[in-house]
Amino acid sequence: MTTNNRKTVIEFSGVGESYQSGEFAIRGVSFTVEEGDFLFICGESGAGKSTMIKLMTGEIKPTEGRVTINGYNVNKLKPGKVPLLRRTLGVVFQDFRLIKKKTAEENVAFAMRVLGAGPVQIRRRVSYVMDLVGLKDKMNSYPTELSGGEQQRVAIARALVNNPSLIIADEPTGNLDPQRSYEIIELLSKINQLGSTVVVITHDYELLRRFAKRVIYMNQGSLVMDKVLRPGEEEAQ
Amino acid sequence: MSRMNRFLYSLADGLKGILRNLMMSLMSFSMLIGSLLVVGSLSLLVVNIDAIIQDLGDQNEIMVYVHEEYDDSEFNRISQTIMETEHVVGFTFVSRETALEEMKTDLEEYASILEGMEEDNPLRDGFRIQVDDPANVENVVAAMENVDGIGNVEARTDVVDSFLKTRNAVNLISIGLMVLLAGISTFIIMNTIKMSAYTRREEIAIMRMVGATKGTIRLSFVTEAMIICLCGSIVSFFAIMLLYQELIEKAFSSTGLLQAVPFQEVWGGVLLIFVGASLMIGILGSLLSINKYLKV
Repeated sequence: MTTNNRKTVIEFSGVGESYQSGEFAIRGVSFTVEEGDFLFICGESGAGKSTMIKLMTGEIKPTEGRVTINGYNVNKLKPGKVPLLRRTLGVVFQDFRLIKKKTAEENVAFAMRVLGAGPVQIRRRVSYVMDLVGLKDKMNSYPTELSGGEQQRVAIARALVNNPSLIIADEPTGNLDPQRSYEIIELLSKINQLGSTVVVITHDYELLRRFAKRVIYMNQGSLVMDKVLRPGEEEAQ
Repeated sequence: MSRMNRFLYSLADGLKGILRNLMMSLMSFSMLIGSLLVVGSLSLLVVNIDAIIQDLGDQNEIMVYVHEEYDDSEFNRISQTIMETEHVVGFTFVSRETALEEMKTDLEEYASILEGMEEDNPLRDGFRIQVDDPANVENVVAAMENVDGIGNVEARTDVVDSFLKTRNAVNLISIGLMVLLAGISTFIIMNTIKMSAYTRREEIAIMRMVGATKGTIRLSFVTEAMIICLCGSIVSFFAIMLLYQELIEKAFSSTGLLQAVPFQEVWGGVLLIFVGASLMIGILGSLLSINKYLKV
C-alpha cells in the first residue's frame, strides 16, 4: 500500500494480543509507518512495547486485527516464510547481542554469511557499514575491547549490513550513559536520513524531547498518543 | 551461488563445532567405533558360518557309498532303486577316483598327503543324491539304508543343523546388540550436538533474527554430526580389516581345514554398512537434538 508515493512499511489495524489467561498485552492498536519515517514507541514497563516488537518480527501473530510489515501479512505468515520477513528487517537489542568470540568485523559479516553472501560482497558491504557507524578503525577489536557505545554501533552495523528497509531498535540506549545514548539516536537518525525507516522503542523521555520525532505512547496495552513532537516539547502523559 | 555459499558456511561451521566441543566429539567418535567393531565382528562371524555351511554341502544332498563287496554289475540295479525312491529328484555317480580328486581339491595346499593313493584308493564308489526338500532327507536316508548294495549313508544334517543353530543365535544376538548400540550411539551424538547448540545459542538466535532458515541452521549441526560419524566409520573399517586379516584369517588357516572368507570378498558390504549406519545415526541424533534451539 502506498500513500503520497511512499510505501507503507508498518500497518497495525485494530491489533490485539492476548495471553493464554485471556488478559490482553495490547488491544485496539492502529497506526501506520511509511517509508523513510522515524518513530519512537515509548511507554512504561508492561505497556506492550515488547509485544509490538514480537508482532513486527513475526515471532507471534496477533489475536485480533491485522499486522502488515513490508508487505508481509503477519496474520497469515507461514512459519517457513518468517525468515523472508526478517530479511527485510534489521534489529538492534538493548544488550547488543554481539558474539564475544568474533571481532567486530566478524560479527557484522556473520549476518551476511548466514544468508549466503559471497566473500567479496561481504568485505565491501561490511567496510561500508563500519565506516557509516564510525568504527572502521575498530574492525579487528573484540566486543570486550569496545565500550558500550561502540558495541551498540557494531550492533547497528550488523542490523544495517543486509540493507533492510526497516530498522527496529529495542531500547538501544538502555545500557548506555546519556551522552552515548544521544550519539546512538543521532546515528539512527543519520541512517534514517539515508532512506531507512527507523522505529526506536524506548522509555528515555529525554531523548524524545531532544530529537523531536514522531512518538507513539503506549499505556497498559493501549495506544494513547501518536504525534510528532516539536523540539523541547514534553510528551503528553 | 547463495546456496553453495550457505552450504560451505555450514560445512565450515560443522568443523568448527567439532573443535569447540572436542571432548564430547571424541566421546561420540569412540563410542561409534566400539559399536561398529562389535556389530561388524558378529556380522563377519555370521558370514563365515554361512560359508562353512555351504562347504559342508547342500542341505538337500546325501551321499551313499556302496558296500565293500559291490561290483560294477550292480550299478544299474542300485541306480534304478535310487531313482524310484520317493523325494529323490536326481543323483550323480561319484567314482572312487573322482572322490579322491575332490578330496585333494578340498585340502588345497595339504593335498600332497594324498599323493600315491591312486594305486590303493581306500575310498568307495558312491552316489550323490539330491532330495526335493531338507525335511525329507531323513526319509530318503532310511530308504537308502535298506537298499541292498549300499554300505553307508551320509547326511550332514546334524552337523549343518548345529551350524545353522549357531548362526541363527549369532544373528539374533547381532540384531539385539545392533539395536542397543545404535540407540546408545544416537543418544551420545544427540548430547554432543545439544552441547554444541547450547554453546552457540546466541549465534543461533541471531541467525534466526537476521532471517536464516531453520534448514540452514540445522545443516551446520547435521554436518558436525555427520563428520564425526563418517570419520568413526572409516576408522572402524580399517580397524576391523586389520583385526580380521591379522587374527581371524590367520587363525582359520592355521587349522589346515577351514578357510575364513577373505576380507577382499566382503569389504564392500562392510564399508557400505559402516558408512550408511553411522551417517543415519549422525543425521537422526542431530535432528532430534537441535529443534529446541530453533524457536525464536
